[in-house]
Amino acid sequence: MINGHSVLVVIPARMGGYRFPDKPLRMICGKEMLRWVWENAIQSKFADEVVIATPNKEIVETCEAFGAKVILTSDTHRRGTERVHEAYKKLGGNWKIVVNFQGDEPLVTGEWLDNAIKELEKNNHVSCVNLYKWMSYTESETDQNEVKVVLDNESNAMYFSRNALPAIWLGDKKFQCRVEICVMPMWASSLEKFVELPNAYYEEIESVDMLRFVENGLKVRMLECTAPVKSVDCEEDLKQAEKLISKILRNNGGRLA
Amino acid sequence: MNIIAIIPARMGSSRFPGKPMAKLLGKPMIGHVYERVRSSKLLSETIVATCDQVIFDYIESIGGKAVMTSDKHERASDRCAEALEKLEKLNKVLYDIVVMVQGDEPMTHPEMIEEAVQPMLVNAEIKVTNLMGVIKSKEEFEDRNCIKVVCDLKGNALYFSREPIPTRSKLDKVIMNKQVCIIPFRRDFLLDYIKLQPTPLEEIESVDMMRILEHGIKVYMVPTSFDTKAVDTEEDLKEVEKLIDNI
Repeated sequence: MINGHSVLVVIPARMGGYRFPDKPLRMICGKEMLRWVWENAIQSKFADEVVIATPNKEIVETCEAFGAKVILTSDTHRRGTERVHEAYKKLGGNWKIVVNFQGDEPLVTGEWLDNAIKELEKNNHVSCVNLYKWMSYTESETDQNEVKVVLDNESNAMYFSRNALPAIWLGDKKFQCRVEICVMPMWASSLEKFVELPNAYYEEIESVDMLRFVENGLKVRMLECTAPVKSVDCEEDLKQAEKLISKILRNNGGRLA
Repeated sequence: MNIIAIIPARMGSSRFPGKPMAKLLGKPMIGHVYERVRSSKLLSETIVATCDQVIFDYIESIGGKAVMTSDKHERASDRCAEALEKLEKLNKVLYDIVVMVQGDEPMTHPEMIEEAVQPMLVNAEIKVTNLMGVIKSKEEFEDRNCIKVVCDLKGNALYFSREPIPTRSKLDKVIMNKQVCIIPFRRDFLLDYIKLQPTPLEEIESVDMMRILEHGIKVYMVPTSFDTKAVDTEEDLKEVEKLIDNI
């Protein structure tokens, strides 16, 4: 609950991604990746309910075993946000704020989840908030798994792209790019709107949910996350996430946050 | 509606010095642009705004009109605004719409002016438009001189970039659009715009229109039915010479 607004956090996850089929259940420092995400999410001060939404029996069983509430969803969704909507509806659809907290962000703490929720709560006129981090231009250029984002003067997203943005016209490679972190609180009304709208053109091309809002003229506010985070899209990412997590655990008496 | 076209031009360009006076089929490029723009029926006036005497003299010699402006301007729109204010004083009129036409689009067709202005005549909310062309080759898509643009579902620009956008790796068939520098402004908006603070992405991308977008103001993009090719280099000039010759 934040200022009277109830908050539902949904973690969408599925097996069978083309590049990395068993990603959500891969182990990081002795726990499934999805468990790290769930344990972080339940640390949130504002979340009234945290659920995992998945079409896979295997994920249901594993997550229920570690104590999570799981909602079984359809296996035909093409966007994470659509899966989040189904879970929200199945749970009665009575929340004011719904967070799409992706299952491949094991390093985003409950505190950063709350910062994103706070930013949404302060801004009635934006539809959704995303976190972002900085990444070197050279790394951004080669990694199409990372979604780059460019912002206007009010930190609203202008465009999301798999290519490195902005263009370094003058060849200054010291420049950094902003990269999307998939922690996305939105108003329940915006979530309803999202599923009513048809798929948008660049949303499909870039494969980025948020572009459905942006292409329809709805605002997506970006908030900088200054903590070290690592989204996991491939084996190499998994190793890096493990390194980061074990370092934090060592320095932090066995806790992530 | 009192509509004026202003063509900003200067000799000192880092990539192609003397570009406006470079000859295309025996005539300076700026002459081609001027004559093509002037034949648009929508315009009450067509003016070249320049800081170079040689351009001023040439335009007068072909029976055209030119205004001398400061040599301190860094952006074409600043030069246009100065020319606009000078002309309004001189002619004792206020124009409604100012169409900025870049001097490096020698293939500008007079009807392109109408295409670009038309949405402003029917929708009072639109403050500024740009023409938008279709990119037909991978080379052009990847050319940093070519400014790519992506639009929202209503046709407003989301972002301009010298980087190839949108990303083509996920899907093969992707519409690729480019900015064509025929830019009608509402008169008052042009004067507001030049006072806006410069913005980070405007400077990084080196795209003037970004200042407007970053300030949260909409730029409406109008698809053009004409083929164009902007001249940024000597090679472009040769290519345009061939294209024009074929028409």
